[in-house]
Amino acid sequence: MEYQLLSDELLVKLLRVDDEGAFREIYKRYLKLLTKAALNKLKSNEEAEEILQETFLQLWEKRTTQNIDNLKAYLFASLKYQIIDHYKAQILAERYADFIFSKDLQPENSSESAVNFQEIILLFEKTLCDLPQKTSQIFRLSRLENKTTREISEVLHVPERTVEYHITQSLKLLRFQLKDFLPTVVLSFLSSF
Amino acid sequence: MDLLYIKRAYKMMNRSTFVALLQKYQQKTATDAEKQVVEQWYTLLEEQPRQLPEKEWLELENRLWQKLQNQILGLEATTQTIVIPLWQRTIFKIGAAASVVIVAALGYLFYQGNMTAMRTQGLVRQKVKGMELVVNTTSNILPVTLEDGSKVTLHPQSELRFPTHFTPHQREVFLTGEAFFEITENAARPFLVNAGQLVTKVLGTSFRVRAQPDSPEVEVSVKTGKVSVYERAEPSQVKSNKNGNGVVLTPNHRVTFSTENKLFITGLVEKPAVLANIVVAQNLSFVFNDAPISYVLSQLEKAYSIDIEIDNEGLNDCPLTANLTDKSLYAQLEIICAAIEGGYEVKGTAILISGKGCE
Repeated sequence: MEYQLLSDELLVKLLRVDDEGAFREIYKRYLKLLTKAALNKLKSNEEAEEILQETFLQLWEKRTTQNIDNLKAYLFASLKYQIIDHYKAQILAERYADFIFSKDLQPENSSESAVNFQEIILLFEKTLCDLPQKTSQIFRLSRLENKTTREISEVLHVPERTVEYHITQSLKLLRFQLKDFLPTVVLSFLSSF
Repeated sequence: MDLLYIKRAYKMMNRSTFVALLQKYQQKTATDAEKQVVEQWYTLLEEQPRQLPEKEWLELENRLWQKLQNQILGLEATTQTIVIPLWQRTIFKIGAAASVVIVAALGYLFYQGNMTAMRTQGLVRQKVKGMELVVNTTSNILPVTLEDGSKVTLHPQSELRFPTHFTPHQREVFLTGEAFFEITENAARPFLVNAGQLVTKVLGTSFRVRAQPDSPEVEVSVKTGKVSVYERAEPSQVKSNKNGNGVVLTPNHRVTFSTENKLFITGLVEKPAVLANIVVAQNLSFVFNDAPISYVLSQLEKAYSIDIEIDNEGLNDCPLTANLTDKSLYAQLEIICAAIEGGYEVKGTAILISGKGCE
């Protein structure tokens, strides 16, 4: 069977009845896209590889119970879940590392007042709005609409290098503004200097 | 470009809270605001865009497919081999010994437990230098047994830190979140639970402590035995050998400590339970035949260890004929109050009965 010719919907249907050929085709069709997305969010190639492996594994393990409308969206959402899980474990392990090396074995102090999520959201938005118009526009296209650098450069008629520059600038400022409020932002923040 | 400096109107989210936030997002139980914060944070994760050269890319494609095949056919536990290099890289920056790397790697491995069937426990357990840290990352309550046989029932998203071997003078643990404690009797070695800013000290008993990281209150409720609850002393106060404010709690009582205004508010637990050992020891019976109300109430007081007051001395001699066995405290009170045409009210740690009478 020429799996390459089959649509996503058909592949999903075949996957549901344990068709390994369909699984292989989905893997070939989406691996590159997912790899690019994973490399963007993770520090090392090894981490990315492990997360990609888990993403596809989940797809296979849930093949009969899943109800996939849009294969591409499903895979990206699954990848996102794995990446978040990875960072969650990393933060926990940091705590363990602190715990191992601290002489004072007190538990982390609870925040004295409940965290105000609205303030964080507003701070993020305000920072974005205060950026030059083009910069914030490019950031939104990249992060909030998930457009690739190439797509943005085509739509706005600017070279890809310029797009990358604007993204880096917005990240720098956002991370700086939010570094006090979101713990892991500090990690990425420091690495960008 | 103006840089913004917004005054810190609120505290930074600590890592435990952030982890809990991510967990909520994954389990789709996050509020809209919480979801938005996670998604904003996610947009800020970006490494330098890097391309894989074509050759490397093909190698990756093949290698990964091999691994998937193996995993699907159950031939290889591949995730294990990838995890350790990951942690060597991160922990190495802190300059750790090899044993720490393995512990952390195992911790990471166990932490991934909620993703695959291979690691089903979901109870992350780390042990270093004689101290253990247990984190319940599942959504069920899980039991933890300590060296002295005490049992701690740990609620979801809660963590307990304790020494593998208790010191000779006391048994001390640290709690974040919520847990139910059943502590073995040992007068020579009091058991201390540190939670938030409170210390709960017991000799042998069962009680519950609630100290959630995102809540300004700490709550302790006692089921059996007796506990003393006090504010943890600042290092400067330790010299004068004086602990902060405190209360002593008996069964069916609870105290809520507000960290903001440093107030202890004592009261009763939601569903007071009869103290089985006392009922047996004193041969208490809840079957009454023309018994004066004062006697009935004193039986209840003993059985529940709760103060019950009556506001009208004249009611004391009113007779009651009823079988109150196996009823909840409040149901029992309803029956009594019906007999005297009255009502009851919970006032702090006592119950007040008022009524018209039985003439």
